[in-house]
Amino acid sequence: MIDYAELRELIPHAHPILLVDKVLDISPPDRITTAKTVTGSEPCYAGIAPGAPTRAFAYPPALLMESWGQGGALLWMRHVRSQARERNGGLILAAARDMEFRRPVYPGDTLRHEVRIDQFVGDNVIMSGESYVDDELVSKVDYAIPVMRPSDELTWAS
Amino acid sequence: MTVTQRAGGGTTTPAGPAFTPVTGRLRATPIDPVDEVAVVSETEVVVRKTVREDDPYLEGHYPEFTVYPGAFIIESVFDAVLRLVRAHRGERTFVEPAEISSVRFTTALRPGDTLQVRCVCQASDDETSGNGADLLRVVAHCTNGEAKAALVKMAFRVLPTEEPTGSGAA
Repeated sequence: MIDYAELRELIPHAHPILLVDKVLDISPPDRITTAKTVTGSEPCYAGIAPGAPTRAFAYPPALLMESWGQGGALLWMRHVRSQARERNGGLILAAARDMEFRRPVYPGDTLRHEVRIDQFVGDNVIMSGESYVDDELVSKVDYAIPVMRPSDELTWAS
Repeated sequence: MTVTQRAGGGTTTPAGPAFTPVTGRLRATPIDPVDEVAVVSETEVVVRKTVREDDPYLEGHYPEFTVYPGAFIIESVFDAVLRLVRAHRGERTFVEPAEISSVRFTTALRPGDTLQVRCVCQASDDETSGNGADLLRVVAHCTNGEAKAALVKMAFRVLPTEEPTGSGAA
């Protein structure tokens, strides 16, 4: 299994945007389950006006997507390393389709992200999956395509 | 607020929407997603956000070079729609994302870049999201100067009004 020190080395994301706490299960090269506990001490909860309603504390969709996607990034970068290659630059999201948000996530919830890599295409992958809190579906993604690009070539053109 | 009239098929050349600066956060968000907002009409809103080196979360994305996470653009769309809906339905209205039917990122944003997001919304009268909330479909054209940054097609649920916390309501 991948421990925290190893996952931190595998993907380029660093504090405070490293949004995977734990790898629960991994079946290389194409399946991974990760966990991330949302806490009210994360920077996204700073500066919210007093009296804000419950919904104001829903975990932001960008961080939910990012946290889910980092599971796929871990799986992908482990695959890259298993081929005796090294990560080259950053990982950026190029496109996504058919993503659904079923229920909000709040501080104290632990997300369980299921990620599948459906296709490896050069320095891109196509992934899909779901996120749950307990057994309740939070969100699902039918198609997401992150790309690996050197830092001086940050373009989505393939 | 500027309301652009396009009556009778004739078009006037608007001077551009009048932007109002924004302060404070309406909800949890990784960065302040809107610096200024212009509600153009009941169905159109434009927001701008300048990417800053010291935006929270950016120091980790990535340590060697900073690139604005594409997903953060979704937060600007979210805030733009929330502010549009509140301008017309009251300050206590809330929206939440229901789906992203497609998003395509075309230009990377770096610190100093100004993202402009123009959202065109359409209420789906015959669609509800299952819990009775109205569904609002949004096409968001996102630009960085002259360059396209992203095209986002997504939908939001417009939620029933909540009492503010601490109001003593059950």
